[in-house]
Amino acid sequence: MEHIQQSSQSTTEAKWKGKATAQVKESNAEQIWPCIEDFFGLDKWFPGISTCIPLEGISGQPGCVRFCAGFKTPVDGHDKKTVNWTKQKLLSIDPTRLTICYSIIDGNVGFHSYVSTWNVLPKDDGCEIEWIYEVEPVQGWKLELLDSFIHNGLQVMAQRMQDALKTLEQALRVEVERLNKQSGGACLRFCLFKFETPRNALSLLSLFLSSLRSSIWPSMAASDAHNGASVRHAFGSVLAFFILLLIGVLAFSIRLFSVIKYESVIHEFDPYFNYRVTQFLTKNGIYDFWNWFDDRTWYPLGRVIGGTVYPGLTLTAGTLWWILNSVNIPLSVETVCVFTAPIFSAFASWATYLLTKEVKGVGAGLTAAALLAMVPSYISRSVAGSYDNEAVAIFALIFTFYLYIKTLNTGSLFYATLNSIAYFYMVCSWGGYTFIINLIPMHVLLCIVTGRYSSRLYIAYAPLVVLGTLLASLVPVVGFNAVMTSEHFASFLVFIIIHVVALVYYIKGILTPKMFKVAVALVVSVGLAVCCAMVAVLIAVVASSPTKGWSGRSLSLLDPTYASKYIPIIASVSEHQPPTWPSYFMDINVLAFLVPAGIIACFSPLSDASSFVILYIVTSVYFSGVMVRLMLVLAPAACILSGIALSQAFDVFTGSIKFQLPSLSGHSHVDAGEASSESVVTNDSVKTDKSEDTSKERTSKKSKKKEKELVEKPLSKSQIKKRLLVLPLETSIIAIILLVLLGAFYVVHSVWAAAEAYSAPSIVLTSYSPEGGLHVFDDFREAYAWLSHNTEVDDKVASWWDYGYQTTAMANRTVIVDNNTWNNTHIATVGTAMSSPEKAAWEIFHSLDVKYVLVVFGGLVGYPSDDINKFLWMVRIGGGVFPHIKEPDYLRDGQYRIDSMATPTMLNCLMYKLSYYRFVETDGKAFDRVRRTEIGKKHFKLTHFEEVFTTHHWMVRIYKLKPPKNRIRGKTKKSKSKASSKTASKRKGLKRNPF
Amino acid sequence: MSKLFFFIFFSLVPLLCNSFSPEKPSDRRVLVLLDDFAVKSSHSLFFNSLKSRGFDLHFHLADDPKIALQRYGQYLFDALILFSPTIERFGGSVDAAAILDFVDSGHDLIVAVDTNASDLIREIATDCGVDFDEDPAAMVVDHSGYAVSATEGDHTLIASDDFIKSDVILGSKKIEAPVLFQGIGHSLSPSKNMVLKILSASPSAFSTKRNSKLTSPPSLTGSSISLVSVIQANNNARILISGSLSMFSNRFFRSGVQKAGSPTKHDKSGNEQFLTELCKWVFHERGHLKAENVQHHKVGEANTPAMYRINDTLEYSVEIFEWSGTTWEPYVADDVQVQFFMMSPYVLKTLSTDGKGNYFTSFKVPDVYGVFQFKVEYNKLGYTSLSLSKQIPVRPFRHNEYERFIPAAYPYYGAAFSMMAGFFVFTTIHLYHK
Repeated sequence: MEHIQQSSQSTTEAKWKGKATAQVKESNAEQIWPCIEDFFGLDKWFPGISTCIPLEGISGQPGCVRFCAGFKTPVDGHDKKTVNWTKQKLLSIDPTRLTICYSIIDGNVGFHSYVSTWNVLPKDDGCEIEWIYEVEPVQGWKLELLDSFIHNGLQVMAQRMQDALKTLEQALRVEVERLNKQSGGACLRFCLFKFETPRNALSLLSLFLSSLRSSIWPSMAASDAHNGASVRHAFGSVLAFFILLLIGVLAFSIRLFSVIKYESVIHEFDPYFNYRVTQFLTKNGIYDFWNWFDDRTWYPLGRVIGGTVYPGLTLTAGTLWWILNSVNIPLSVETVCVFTAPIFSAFASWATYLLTKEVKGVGAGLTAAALLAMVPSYISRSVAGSYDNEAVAIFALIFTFYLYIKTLNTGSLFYATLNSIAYFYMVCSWGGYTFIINLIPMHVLLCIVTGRYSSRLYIAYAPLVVLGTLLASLVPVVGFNAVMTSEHFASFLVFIIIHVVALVYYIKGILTPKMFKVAVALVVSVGLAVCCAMVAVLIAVVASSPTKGWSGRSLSLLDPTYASKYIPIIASVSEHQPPTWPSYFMDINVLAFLVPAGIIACFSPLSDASSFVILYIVTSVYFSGVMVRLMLVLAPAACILSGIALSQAFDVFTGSIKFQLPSLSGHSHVDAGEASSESVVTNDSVKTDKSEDTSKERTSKKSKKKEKELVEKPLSKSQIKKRLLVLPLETSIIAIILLVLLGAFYVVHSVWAAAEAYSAPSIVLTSYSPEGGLHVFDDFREAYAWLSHNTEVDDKVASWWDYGYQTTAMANRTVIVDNNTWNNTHIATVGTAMSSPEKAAWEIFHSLDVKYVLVVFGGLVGYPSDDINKFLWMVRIGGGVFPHIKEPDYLRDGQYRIDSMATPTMLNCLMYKLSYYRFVETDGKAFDRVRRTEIGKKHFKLTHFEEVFTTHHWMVRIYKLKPPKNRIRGKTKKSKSKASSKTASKRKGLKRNPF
Repeated sequence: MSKLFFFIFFSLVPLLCNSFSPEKPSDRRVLVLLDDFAVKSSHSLFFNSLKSRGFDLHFHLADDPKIALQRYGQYLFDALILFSPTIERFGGSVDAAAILDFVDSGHDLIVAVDTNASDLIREIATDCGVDFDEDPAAMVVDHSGYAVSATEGDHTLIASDDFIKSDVILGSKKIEAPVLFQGIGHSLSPSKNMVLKILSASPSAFSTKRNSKLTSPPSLTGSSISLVSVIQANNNARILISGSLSMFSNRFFRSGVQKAGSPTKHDKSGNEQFLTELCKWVFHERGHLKAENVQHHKVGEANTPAMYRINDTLEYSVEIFEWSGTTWEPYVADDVQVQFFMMSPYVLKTLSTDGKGNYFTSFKVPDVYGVFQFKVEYNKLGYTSLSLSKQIPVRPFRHNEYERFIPAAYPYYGAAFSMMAGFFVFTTIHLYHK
């Protein structure tokens, strides 16, 4: 499961290698193992080590580092003044095979690339401890010296362990008997080990339980304790594997409601564009896709699709399609596109498992994966058919974070490279990659500031910046932005800082403290001056660009009011609005309550990984508060933290129960165990009794290892614990029931959200009639089909930009603007046309060669997101570029209305006319069901447009521009009394042809 | 009457296949609506000149209930001559709207009115952009440009020689004699160049009621009065509007003319030549252009690409012919221009011609991508307008079309590679030479 650090094992061939063994006669392998496993407790066993303290991480977690000092080496002269010290890092640990591997990462004894492996080998009589070591030749040493040093040390270690175990057994036996007499075997009392240190107490407790188990199940324990543990562990792995598999199935299948309830169809707006791009890719190949200049959108500007699109999603789906076809599974491109998002949600849950496992272990990982599989926020963007960038980007995001944490935990350059590649995939997939390239530097900075700098941090970060930036700039849409825009500056700044810090650490290592102080003073004074100059230059450069180097979307992230003030086109998109409070409950549901507990759990102990998760949740909470769309980034963080919280809580509760259940005992030994656990808490019981919550949190703060050990393998694990807090049985049971209820509530809510709230494809609408019948509104496809069958191939269709993607994809007609809102002026032109009177609008559209105008109108059936409701944004966006369009002209006393109180400008603008033309013919009153009012102007004629198509429910109306007038008329005559000339003057009164 | 009509109709059937078409734009079948069949003889010279050029004239009284312009959606005639200034209501299904539709579908129209023109005729004229003097009794009077005649009268018979200067409309032969005009004047909508003043009144002319004292300033005065105007609609239908029916008459055709104050006396008025040439133009025997065979391709290639790349050099050619009445002749001009257009023209080039109707040029595609159009907008006085547009997208460079190595960047290449080499050397030394 764990990986041995590759780099340190595969260095030069001229390494010294050796092996030492020691026999332990009276204890078996399972009993010895906790002593070996206790990584931070070396000082108790190895001779001469006076200090062994934890530096990083949790004992027993790969990546944790201990500091050992005070031992004597054979080469030390008597005049040696300084203390010998080393920093040793745990590389891997395998409780099933009873093996542990660590390396010396730092020290003053001259060991380089030292790696050693301890194996506990079960024997018929007791066991054998094996110590395999290798090291680069050490200056001043001889291999023989090393051999003897280690051999002697190991012998002492083995002896000490054996002694300790013996002491334990005796002590426990005495204690148990005493307590049995006292309390008569009361089961539910808190107890305390009266041993030297709490953590030893804990190890010994599990040792004791182990021996207990041997007495309960003699067949298992006595004959082959080692095998039992392996089987148990293997069983756990298989179980975890199947749970993961099921989580994947769950993640996939919960997103199929849209296909079952509606049909297998691409949803909404952007997915249609992605679908169209994928079709192009599968038809024309990747090079044509890269160079695709699309002349059917943004007429007449066109759009360089290859250079302006994030290609990750398209390439992913295209590759999937290609693979399926090359193995003769002839799925259509559309089918592949529809199911891409569910497939990647399964991947995302697995990535969440990996990430959370790196932070807090398997249990938390599985919980987090299960939570993510059905978090509504993510479901909303990844139901089948929602073929959008986020579908794959969330997976890429989590996976990149996982690899970062993995690199951070292992310090492996291999993972660092993988991390860069994952980052590259993320850059390919989504503009949200800037979140990664800002969050990781923030975390690195946090680690540096809190004094957690290590070479692993350097390896995790520096390759990512260098390789990641190089790779990112290969994506055409990013290109030089990867080094030119402010979004990326943070990573470069931190890149510089980490090098400075690395240099400082290096210098600190080679200089004496006194010299170092001098050097610091010198460097700081010079460095400050240089820094000030650099910063000044940087600020000047950045300030010279009009947007200060930030793109509008990023600015609106930093300043939530920016968009509404300056960029109506960003503010006009509903998913760019700040979310409301209920939307948090809707989208992450109970996770919102679990997250704080998870944050607290991450704080104890605070490791590099858990601090990253905390940083992730904090930043994503902020961003989700700015833009409702970024709730999607919050969802994985919330799932991870909730997973941690839930798993910790379960561990505590089930641990408490298991620990106290009488059925488990049945022997006097158990009473002893409980008695001892009673004494564990008596010291702390005041606190515990006072507030259960505190104790629960506190207990959950303890590494999950302890709980796991109690739950899964209570006999084979030992942990370093300062305190053992055990909750009363009833409390634990009730709390577990409550937690299960909470989880059930979450599941029910998620399924409801997946089935009802987020599955509608939005191109097909349904409504239930009061009688219970289902009514389907398929107007959009009706309109697009009409366009594709009844208009010329080269005809241009103007509509508000929302419908651009769908028009090009479904009707295959050229559009003026679409959902890729890259050109504000062009959109403003269309907005201006929609807000202008008929004649001016005709002129604008005619100058753009528009043949048809498409408007979406919901007034008849009560479809609220129609063009009239979006109209104010058209006015604002249009007015932003063409100042003759003024928003107040369309508002009556600041109110937007279309009834008889509406302003004349409003009633005469094109959008009003196209929406409400002939509307009065439907019910005679022209009652708009969306605005819930009768419209202001009911009877009017169109002079420059003619209606050519209106869908069944009037949701889409298509108008054609009338051709320019063939003739011109003479002057209007006023003073004619004859009837015939009246008709003539009436005709003359009509609008004139502008040309 | 009905027999006659059917006879006419069936005699027309074979002509249907010979009707107005883009290939043979001249009119063939002409419907003439008269107030009175007497006009047929009194204006026979005019009609005969048409007949002699091959036109089928069909005379009807304007209130004949049998007249119809179209049947089963097909127009029965290519042109219409309205010599019925006083008609209040046409017979049959014809009304002002039908006549305007007739024009809007590309057919030609000649309208001649007189004093006391009916509202119907005025409405048609107004819809074509011509406003007759509102006073129905008004006539154009010119006390200095009148035609000297035996009956020294009220100077309503005007001899005008203020023609439009266009060889296309009036023929290349100069009209020597002044044109006799007696009738109502009209004004044209300003700022519209669709309507052309062919024969305008002299600066001393004005429009007033005959035999009445001038109490208020006349509404139309001077050279803003148009006597004869033509309109070429956007669909190239041509309309002739004349304020005088009598100028078409045999009497005016034959009479001699002497303009007041001018010593020369012409034996014959200019009416015949003027109107004959004008009718040739109206009936598309002259000044009708067609463009065809638009081709464009990259220099050095023959095939038309579906898309150009920025900075390509391309060749564009188009063939333009003019209808001579019988055949298509090469059109020769030096002012045909092509635009390479995307919202505004990026390239505007004058096409060169080889004299055989072929126009061509070559230019470089601008450094801007987008959907461009080749546009030829040729609007020359007297000619039908040519409006060609052909859409062509222009794409940016492909990823492998950029220069691989830029000379200016060699220092950077050098820096990069030396950095790599240096790093390699450094690493080697650092790792293996302690």
